[in-house]
Amino acid sequence: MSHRTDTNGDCGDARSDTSSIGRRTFLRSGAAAAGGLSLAGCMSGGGGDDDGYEMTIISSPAGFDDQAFNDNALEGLEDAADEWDIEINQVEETNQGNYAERQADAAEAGPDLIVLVADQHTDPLEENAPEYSDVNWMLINNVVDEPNVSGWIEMNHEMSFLAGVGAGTLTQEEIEHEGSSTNPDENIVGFVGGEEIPLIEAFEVSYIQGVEWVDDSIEVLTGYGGSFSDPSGVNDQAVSQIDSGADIVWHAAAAAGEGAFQAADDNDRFAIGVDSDQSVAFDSYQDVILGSAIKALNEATYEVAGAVVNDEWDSVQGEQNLSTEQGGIDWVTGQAFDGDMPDSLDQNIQDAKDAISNGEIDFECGPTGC
Amino acid sequence: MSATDESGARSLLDRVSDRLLDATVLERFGIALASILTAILLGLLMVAAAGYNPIIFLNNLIVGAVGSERVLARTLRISTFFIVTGVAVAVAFRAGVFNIGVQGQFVVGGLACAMSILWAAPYLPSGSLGGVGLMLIGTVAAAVSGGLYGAFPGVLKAYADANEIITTIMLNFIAIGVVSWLITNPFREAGSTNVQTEPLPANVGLPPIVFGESGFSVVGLVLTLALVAVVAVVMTRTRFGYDMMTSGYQASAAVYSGVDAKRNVVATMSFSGAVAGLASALFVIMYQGRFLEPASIHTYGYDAIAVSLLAANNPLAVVPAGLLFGGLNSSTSYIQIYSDVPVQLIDGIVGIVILFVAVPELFRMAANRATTGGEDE
Repeated sequence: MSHRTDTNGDCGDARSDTSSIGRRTFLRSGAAAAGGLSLAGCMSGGGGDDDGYEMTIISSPAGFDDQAFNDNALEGLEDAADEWDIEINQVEETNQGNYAERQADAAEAGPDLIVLVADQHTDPLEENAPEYSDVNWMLINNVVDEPNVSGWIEMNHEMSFLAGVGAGTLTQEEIEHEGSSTNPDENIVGFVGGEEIPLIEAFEVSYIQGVEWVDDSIEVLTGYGGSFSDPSGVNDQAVSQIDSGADIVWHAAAAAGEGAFQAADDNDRFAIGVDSDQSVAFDSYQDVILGSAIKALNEATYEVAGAVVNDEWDSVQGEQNLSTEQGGIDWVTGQAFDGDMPDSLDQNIQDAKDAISNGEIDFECGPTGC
Repeated sequence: MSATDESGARSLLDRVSDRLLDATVLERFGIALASILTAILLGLLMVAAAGYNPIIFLNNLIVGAVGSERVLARTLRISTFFIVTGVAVAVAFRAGVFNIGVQGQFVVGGLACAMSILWAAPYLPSGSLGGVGLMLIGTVAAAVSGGLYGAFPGVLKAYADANEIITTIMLNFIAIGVVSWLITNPFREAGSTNVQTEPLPANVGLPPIVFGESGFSVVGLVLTLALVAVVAVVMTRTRFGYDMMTSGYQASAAVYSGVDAKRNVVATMSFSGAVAGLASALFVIMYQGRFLEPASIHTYGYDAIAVSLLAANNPLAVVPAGLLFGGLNSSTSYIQIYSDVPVQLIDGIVGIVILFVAVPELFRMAANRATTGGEDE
């Protein structure tokens, strides 16, 4: 607690001229130039003079602006901020080795909730959660067994499976759009991961399972770009897969996935997005993004933020799941293709979702590894 | 008219460079301090122009570097890494060998340190005596492997005439790729989906004097300063160092005086790489307690080039330069948490500070080179 007092001391001289403009309204009003000295950032900490809520979100190694994982989590918080009086503090940290310290830094400021994007935060949180027991933590992709932690396991294997079902279905169909086309005579699809880590290897295996669930004669080409942030490696892999006959490529490479869309665009083929509706996030590539396998992470962060505001932490404490059954994992067709897709797609996706929900699929990999 | 202007400008330039060359150490320190203040002032103007409160920013900048025991520990910790890697770069640059591969040597050294400790742990007693033994083993392993990884491009330069700037940069990527693969596959912590080795045994770690469990130990700082002193003595007071320094000043003169140029290049690179390995041993033993995905470790080895240049490649001057970098780095994370100023703007301002401090030194070095051998007075 002494730290917290320090914190207020740091900001003490600032409080007098602090207007209560929240981060979002601040950005929204475009006041960046005109707003002058309004400082939204100085944490109110434990000072009870402010009714608003402070929520901090710390990125995964891919960082924000990835149009996927991190942005998706942030979006839910922003939706919550639209509804309640919440000030969001974004902390971008791409070095895994710094997570322990960043979590502690954020906790020292005494926010009401800290959202940790990615499994890499798990080990450091095991020490920080009991240490900062008056802070609520939301961990994405793993669980830490502490009363102040809400751990969200995303059923990534289900999402990858749906991507595979989508790719496997559509490679057999004849699709033409704005110069791009599939090749229904040859059944080859591609997969490009970011870094070759256990998490993404599990994506690959489940994707292949999804493709083979549609038709096990379909060939799947796989490769890794080597980075979650630099699209060039993903682009190289996707281009070489397309050269080898793949007509649809799915990526699991966060921000680097843009390389896959670029490859499809340059070579008149198609790609599939991940995590969120990427035909919207990357709308310049909407003509090649057939659809996206999504997880409603934004709904999860919204829900947790709401639980904090409404003092219902118990409802989100412990292990929580984002699954097909619960509606958190799904397939969305790309915005340029909505309504123009063959019926087989809807049929197969629905069958696959039913099969997953009924436990009929024997997954080789779990949500974070095999 | 324009001709006189030009000659006027030139003589001003000459005078400035002469003045800079004559500057004493104290004056150079003063110049650096003035540069920092000017740069911070400029940075504050940018912060104000972007619509944030510059007073708060300045406050956060200082508080974030030295404001509490926690941040002070962080500043000192980061500084020690910058200092040791900075010394590694300075050693090579002083000898005229451009070792851009400190990051790679750091990564290789860190893995060697962590793995040698993990492998040796079962054979040593678990008490603090065993811990000291393990740390010695890890430190030696880090220095040797970092040294060997530095020696390799040295051999390539000496005996195959391969440009060390290119080979060391490429070897950085190879080191990161190979170490990353090793930690992802055979050396990964059992049952973990994170890319990291097993944690080091509990008896390995520097005693938490003064700063507690902050990942920084005063012992680490003392060892760092001792290393700086040793390197400075080696560079200026031994035959080995003298050979290196003369080769750096004028390679042909060094050869004429009997220095084996090829061996000297290899020796310099090994020495530099070994120091980089020691930096990594400190990183593993004092801070991380394991080794992790090298692509997600801060680029100390690259930043060290700037640290070393800032210090005019003088091992002793690397200490204040490293502290400046450490303080700025520490503030960056603090400002991000306690204000809305986007991280890109903070990085930009930190860049301005570094640029302002480095320019007079670079100018001085350039003037030094330009005047050397020319007629004077």
